[in-house]
Amino acid sequence: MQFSFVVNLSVSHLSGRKLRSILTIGGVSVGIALVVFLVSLGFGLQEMIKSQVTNVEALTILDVSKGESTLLKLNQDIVNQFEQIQDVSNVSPSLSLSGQVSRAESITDVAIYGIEPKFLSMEGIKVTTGQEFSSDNASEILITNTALNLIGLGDPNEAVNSELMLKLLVPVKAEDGTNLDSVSKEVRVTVVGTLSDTSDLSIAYVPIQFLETLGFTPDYSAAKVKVSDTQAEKDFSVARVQVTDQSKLPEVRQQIEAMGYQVDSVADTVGQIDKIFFIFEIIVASFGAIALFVAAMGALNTLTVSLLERTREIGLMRSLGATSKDIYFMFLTESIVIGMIGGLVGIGIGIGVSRIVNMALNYLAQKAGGEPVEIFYAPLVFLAVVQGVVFLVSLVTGLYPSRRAAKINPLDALRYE
Amino acid sequence: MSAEQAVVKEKTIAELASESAESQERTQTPDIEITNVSKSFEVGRSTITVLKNLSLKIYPEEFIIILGPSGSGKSTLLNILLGLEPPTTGSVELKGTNITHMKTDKVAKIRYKVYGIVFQRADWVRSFNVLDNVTLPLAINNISKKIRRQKAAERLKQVGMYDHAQYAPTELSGGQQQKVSLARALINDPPIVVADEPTGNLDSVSAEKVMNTFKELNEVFHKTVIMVTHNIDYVRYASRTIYVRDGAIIEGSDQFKK
Repeated sequence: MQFSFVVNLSVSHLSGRKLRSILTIGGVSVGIALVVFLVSLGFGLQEMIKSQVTNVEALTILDVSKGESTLLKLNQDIVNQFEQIQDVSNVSPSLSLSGQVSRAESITDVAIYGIEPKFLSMEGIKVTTGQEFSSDNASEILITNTALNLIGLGDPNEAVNSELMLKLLVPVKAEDGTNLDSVSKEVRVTVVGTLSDTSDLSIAYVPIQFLETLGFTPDYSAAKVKVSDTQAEKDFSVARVQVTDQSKLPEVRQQIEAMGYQVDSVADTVGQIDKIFFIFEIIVASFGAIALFVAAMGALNTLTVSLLERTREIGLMRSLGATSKDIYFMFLTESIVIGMIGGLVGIGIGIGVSRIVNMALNYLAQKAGGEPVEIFYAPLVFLAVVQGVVFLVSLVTGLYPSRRAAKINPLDALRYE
Repeated sequence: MSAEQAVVKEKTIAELASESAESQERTQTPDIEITNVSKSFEVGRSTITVLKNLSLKIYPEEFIIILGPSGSGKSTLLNILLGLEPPTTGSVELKGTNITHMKTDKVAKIRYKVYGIVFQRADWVRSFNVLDNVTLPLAINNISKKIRRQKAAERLKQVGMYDHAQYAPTELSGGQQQKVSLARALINDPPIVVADEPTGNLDSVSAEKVMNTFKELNEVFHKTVIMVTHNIDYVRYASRTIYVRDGAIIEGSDQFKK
């Protein structure tokens, strides 16, 4: 029998018994919709939390620091060495300093980071208002709204292009290597952009070369900052190493750790999040699987009833030349058609309901002054897997009635009343 | 006609047959040859023998009517001819192929090529219309949709039912259903048409029309027709009548008329 004919036969049988078909397919659909709804909620929450922790680019980045070591250097030579490691695409060194920003009479403490302007995204910095640095050594600053609030610049639009005084506190090392004191240096900087900060921290970024041009004396910058004189002495506090591909991360990490440096990665946190959500998704999918199992029982019942109703039809087809394999294939196809239609409808319902719930939540969130969120996420691979599972379930469901139908003696079938 | 009436006329048939002037043995290769066929069924602890050591040859272009009262074994004989059930002993050859102990699926394929079948009660795929039901034998045997629809239309025209192609079969009268059933039996152009009480559920006018169609098939389209019936009146359509009683062919009834 041609496949198209068998499918046509199954569809015509199902459409001939509308109510029963709707109920059976509806049962499968509800089971699948539940799986799609619950698991896509899991995926959505997972993605939402991950996006709060990091961006996609951050997954290819390693944070390298000297850890507790006082002997290790993290200077340009080392940065160059990192760059030589296979699969490393960029190395972004940064300096961290303590400092203060002031405007008129207002003053606040901020954590200052000297960074390479071209590696803004690598540092995970997202400018919300204004723009990025205009040049590598511009006297410009990117600063969080929290810090701006503390100096009376609550409106980000007003803050952009305004001038602030930046006071840097640099630890000075004595000749024996111990920190003695902090020396302050005050410069005028222009706010080019503001940053959103979910954790309410006072942080500011300035170009690393701008720090170098400030002309800190070698006396106090020698050990840690070393911003002007000899490059060899410049000692970064952190270097961010970007690899070409996420899968290369462990390899590069191993090499840098072998050099004695401490390596941290957002991927560690993300890995933990993934593990937790994997368990969550398995649990919610199990609830859906129970619903799907019940639906499969319904489909089995329908097929068995259909088998009894169509016994004479089976006899007719056998007498007209159909083999037992043809009959087996016919019933199995019907089971699969029920499953596949139920699966597709269920996926549609699952996605539809999740959209509606998401819209309702966003409406409430907006009313309450919150930002819109996407708490449902259904990747295509997941939907394909769901449909694949439905295929397997309907295949297994169809085995018993198909086998029974194929075994019916044609003569007995023709005599069946 | 009742079974009692049939029995009363039994002798007459035998006499008629034996009196037929040119009783002859044919030299052609038979379409069907059954030799020493017996069929028994186990019912509880007892064994019921339905056919007893029966032999028969059916030749191309014959119109055979198998007559007999209920329970005589004529339907069982027909089922054995069709390969729908195997004999307990003996052999069945179909167009020179021994199908006696052949696997049912293999027999199904041979049946498709050799036979067109019309049952007493017309069975349908209820979700299909008349046209699609007529296409069934071709669909089962992987013929393309275009060809099977074209052939179905031709056969429906042949039996005068093309106007009802889009109807559900169960919307038709008994006579109409049998005509459609005949169209279905003819769609693969089989050399042998087998009918099991095709007029059993019909009024006399419809039955006469159906019988004339069978006659036309035999005489104009040169089909071998094998028909099981209760009705002795149809003997006039047959080229040979086989009278079965108690599982055996009545001696002398199996004679050629022409």
